[in-house]
Amino acid sequence: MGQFLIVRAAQSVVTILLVTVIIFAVTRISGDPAELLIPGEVPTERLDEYRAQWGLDDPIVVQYFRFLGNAATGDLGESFRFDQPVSELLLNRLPATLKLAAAAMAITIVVAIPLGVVAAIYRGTPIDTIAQTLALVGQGVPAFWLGLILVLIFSVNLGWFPAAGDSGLTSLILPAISLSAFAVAVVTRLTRSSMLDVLDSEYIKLARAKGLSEAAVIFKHALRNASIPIITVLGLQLGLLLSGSVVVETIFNWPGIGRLAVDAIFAADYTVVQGVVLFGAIAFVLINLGVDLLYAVLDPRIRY
Amino acid sequence: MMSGSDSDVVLDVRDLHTEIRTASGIVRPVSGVSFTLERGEVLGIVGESGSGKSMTALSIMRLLPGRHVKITGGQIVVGGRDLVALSDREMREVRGSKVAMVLQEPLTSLDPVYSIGDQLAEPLRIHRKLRGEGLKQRIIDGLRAVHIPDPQARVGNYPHQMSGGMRQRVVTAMALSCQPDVLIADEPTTALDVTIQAQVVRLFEEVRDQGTVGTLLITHDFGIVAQLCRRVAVMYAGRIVEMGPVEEIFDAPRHPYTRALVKSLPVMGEKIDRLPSISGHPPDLAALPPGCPFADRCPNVTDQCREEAPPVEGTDAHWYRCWNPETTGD
Repeated sequence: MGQFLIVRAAQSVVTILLVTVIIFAVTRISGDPAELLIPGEVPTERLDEYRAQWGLDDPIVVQYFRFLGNAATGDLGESFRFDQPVSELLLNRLPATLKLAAAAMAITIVVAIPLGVVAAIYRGTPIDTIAQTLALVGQGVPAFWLGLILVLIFSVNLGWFPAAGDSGLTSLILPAISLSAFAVAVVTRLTRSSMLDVLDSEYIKLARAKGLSEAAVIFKHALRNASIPIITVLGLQLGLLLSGSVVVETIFNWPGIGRLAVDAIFAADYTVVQGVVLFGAIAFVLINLGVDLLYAVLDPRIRY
Repeated sequence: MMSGSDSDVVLDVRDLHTEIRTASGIVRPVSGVSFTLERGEVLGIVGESGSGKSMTALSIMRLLPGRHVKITGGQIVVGGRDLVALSDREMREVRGSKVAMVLQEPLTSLDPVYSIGDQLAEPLRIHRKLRGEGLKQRIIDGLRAVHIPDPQARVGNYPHQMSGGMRQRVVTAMALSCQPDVLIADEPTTALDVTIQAQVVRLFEEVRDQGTVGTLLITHDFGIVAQLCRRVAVMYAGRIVEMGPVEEIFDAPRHPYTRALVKSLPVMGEKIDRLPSISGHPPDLAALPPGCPFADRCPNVTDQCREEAPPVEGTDAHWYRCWNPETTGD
């Protein structure tokens, strides 16, 4: 177990380092930041001055290690556009994204797992058909369309929820539903199929032959064995949610990281882009590490 | 037909019928099966795949796979109660307690994510209400009884840390933990290699000789039947076609199917080029002929066999369903 932990943690560090190289390279390939940021006819001296001010005249490798060293201390540079530290911008936007991600994740877990379990238990019955149809619709409907329809029905016509902005719990519901629809669909289908695999196995037959109640068979034996693929996909979905949803944040005018990223890309505010991507990558890597640890907790074959 | 003898009958199956509803009609994998099982004996049920032997076992446990499979007639009497008539809750109290089961696949019949101690504890906790030290002691005693070395240490092991033979013993220990009256073993040795098979057979011999449980041994391995059983039932197309003492079934089978089965076994020390096999295929259970299901493959077939179901002939101790049985001198 200890060794498994150390190896996975080391792998995570390597992954994050590789990500920093890629992020740094890609933002520089997209153009000279000085020329991008100072539009129009500008004397070369002015540009040079600007490059010197931001350290853009140093060798690229030096720039990379400066970026890495600063990033390690939480300094992601200054936003050219806002004249504000990137880390500050990220921290300002983070709560909104976290709230939305947590709400969408909660909906996914609470809806998708029971739905998938029930569909598997009642395989081939109308209940299963309904669950599968819902999942198909959830997977097929684009988030922007669902978001707009929800706003139209529940904000414009019924007036139950605010149409946009972050103003407390009620404003969270519509964006969270739009954001979670796809994840609910994916996780429902996956839960159903992994439960079906497990319910077919010999140890489930034996559990019943021992006289266990159906609830113990399903929740103690089947669901835990079916949980590994489910947790993998939940982890991936959480990673996506945490890096911010551009579409849903835009429709609902939600002040999260996704919109920060899009605005920064359009404004060529490359330090912010670097910061957002780095944050997303680290979130992904950490979530995956957490998922791996959960595997080990759930399945002794991975632990030993 | 069969009347249970006066001795201690632990399981009395009477005219059991199980049906599967399929798109192409109703299939009857168990069709009028009757037998009794006594305490301290091992009753063998043999037959080729699809003959209904496993379905008979699952019917007794009432663990039939899916809503389209149902017991449609007959009785399964255990301890004076008809299991067919029990509610689901009452049946759960019987499973693992009065009637226990060992499955075919020792490698996959333990849950990989719980320790064997956890899994052994389940039936004891549910049926015997054991907790704490008493529970732990019973688990360790159970493992010792099936010759698991160092049971105190093994209790915390997970299935993947044990060999196939050990897992089969753990499963057997689990089945015996609540001292059931009936043990159903569905192909308990099939998935094991030969040396391990021998150990498992020895274990079943011990269980038999303790005399507390009646074992229903489902297998297609006549060698194991010969070692363990006093009586054997031969199943074909969902029916018991012949039942009797093991020696008579081997030496003087009356049903042509039994005879063909016995003849297809290799004999130690006898040299032959080719083992005889039974020509033809098992019948389609969804479209059985009105007469004897073995008619199409039978060397003794007559027109009567194809039209009328054969009667039960012979004695209570050795009976068979056939119009034209083999002669005893064969």
